[in-house]
Amino acid sequence: MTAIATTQIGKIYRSLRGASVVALSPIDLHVERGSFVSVVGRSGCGKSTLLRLVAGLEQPSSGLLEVAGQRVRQPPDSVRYVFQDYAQSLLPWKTVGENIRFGLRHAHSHSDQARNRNNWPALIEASLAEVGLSGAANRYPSELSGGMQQRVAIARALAAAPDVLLLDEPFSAVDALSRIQLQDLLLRIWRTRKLTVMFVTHDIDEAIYLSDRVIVLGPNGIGIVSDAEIDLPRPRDQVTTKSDTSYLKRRREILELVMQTH
Amino acid sequence: MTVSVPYSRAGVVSAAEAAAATPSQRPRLGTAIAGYFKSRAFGWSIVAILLAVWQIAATAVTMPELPPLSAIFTEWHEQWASGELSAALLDTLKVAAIGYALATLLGTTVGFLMGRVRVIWAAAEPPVELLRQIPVTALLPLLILYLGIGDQMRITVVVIVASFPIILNSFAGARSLSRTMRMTAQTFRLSWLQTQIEIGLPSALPFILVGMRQALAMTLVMAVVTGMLAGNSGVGYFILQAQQVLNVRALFAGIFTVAAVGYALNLVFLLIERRVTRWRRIGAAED
Repeated sequence: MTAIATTQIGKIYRSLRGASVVALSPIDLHVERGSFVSVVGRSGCGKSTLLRLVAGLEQPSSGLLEVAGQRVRQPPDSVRYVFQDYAQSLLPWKTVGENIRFGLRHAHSHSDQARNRNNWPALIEASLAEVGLSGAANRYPSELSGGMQQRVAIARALAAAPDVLLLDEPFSAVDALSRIQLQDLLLRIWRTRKLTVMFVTHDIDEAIYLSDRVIVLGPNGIGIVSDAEIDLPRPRDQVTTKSDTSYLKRRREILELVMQTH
Repeated sequence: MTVSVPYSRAGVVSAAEAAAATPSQRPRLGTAIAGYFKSRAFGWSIVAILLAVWQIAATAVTMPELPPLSAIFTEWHEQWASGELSAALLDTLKVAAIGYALATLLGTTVGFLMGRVRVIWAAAEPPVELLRQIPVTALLPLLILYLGIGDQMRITVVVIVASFPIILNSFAGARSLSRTMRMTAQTFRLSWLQTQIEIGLPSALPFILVGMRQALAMTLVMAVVTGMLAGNSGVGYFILQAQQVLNVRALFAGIFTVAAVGYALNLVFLLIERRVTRWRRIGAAED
């Protein structure tokens, strides 16, 4: 089943001088339900634009977007978005627990369990446990490290029980070791929650390690230049997967492609 | 306006900085002395010394225009006990409180909406900037003509003066809302009103409070001064009366009362501000 389907979806901005700037040429993209798809490319390739279009945060200039078979006109309830800038995405005046409560309050959830406020304290604690932050509910985001703050943002997204998780360079502002932990955390959540994930990154290693499929966008919004299946075995492991010969082969192919087209 | 913000709390101190600032050895006398000169105790000592010099000088030489502090205090106590000064203060504070509340409501609403709604900005920016240039003293004759010399006029003056810092800071606060925060509201499908209440106002609050504190100082000044100009009530009138009957001790008693009340109000404000923006001072943890 298709979770996300775009038909000739594109975005054109009008610059301050009135000229048209192509952020993303019309593209067709089908993301299978339950799959993990990464989008890579350099700055200005339109990868974040694509993600914001799928999230309903921006309106496409052309084309049709469907999430779970429904045409997207506003951010769908089944979709949650994780931003790169966690410090601005979490509400700093709310504690960690209150931030997740905010996620529950605006979940627009159909599940009775999530709607009943009496269940919220337990749900908050459960989603914190899921990201490895048990007992952090009463702390403020500013008391936590960057990696921990991004975990809170993920917990807040999960509290709304989404089917689709969109992540825009979520780990690029986090130190290398925390990033590795967050990658494995995300894979674990994706597997146990059976989510569909669309993951934007400029890190090719990260994209291959995480994904079922890596899509490369060409420069200046020209669209998809490569769409590769990653058939590495799961569960993946930071050491063995990344030294696998097929991993290295994939890495070489995609890296060469990115270097050529840019 | 930030002079009374304790120095160490002026910015967010991270855990690492705090750890670095903590000396490993026990504090010695030298550090204690350095600490004194860096704290407000130093300034209070200067005030105490100046007051002591005043008391000694005024006792040694009799000057009608500079009575000893002890005499001023006795006068203050009498005026307070007789209800003269306390009634005047209460009157001033009433005008200040009503004016300040209205200015906060008006200033926050106008400033915040100017920052969040383009049409409101377009409509309000020119009149606000024009009105801001007019010294309130230039408006006084007109205001007295329209409103008389009662509380209505005094409250209006307070509102006019105190609104502007709140408008300007609320506007800046509303503009400071980041794109990521706006998009976060969007992903959770907050309505326009929910976005303003749950995200816009809290994120603008530190700015609004800066404006409110600037306005607080102006409010007290205006509440006193209008009482003087209109010449019929409040601490301002109390001071004016004392001057007219050449009661210098009562004059000083009135002035000291205003200073003490102003200081106390600012202190209370700072305590409330620290409480509601507690989240801003908590430092980042290390990885």
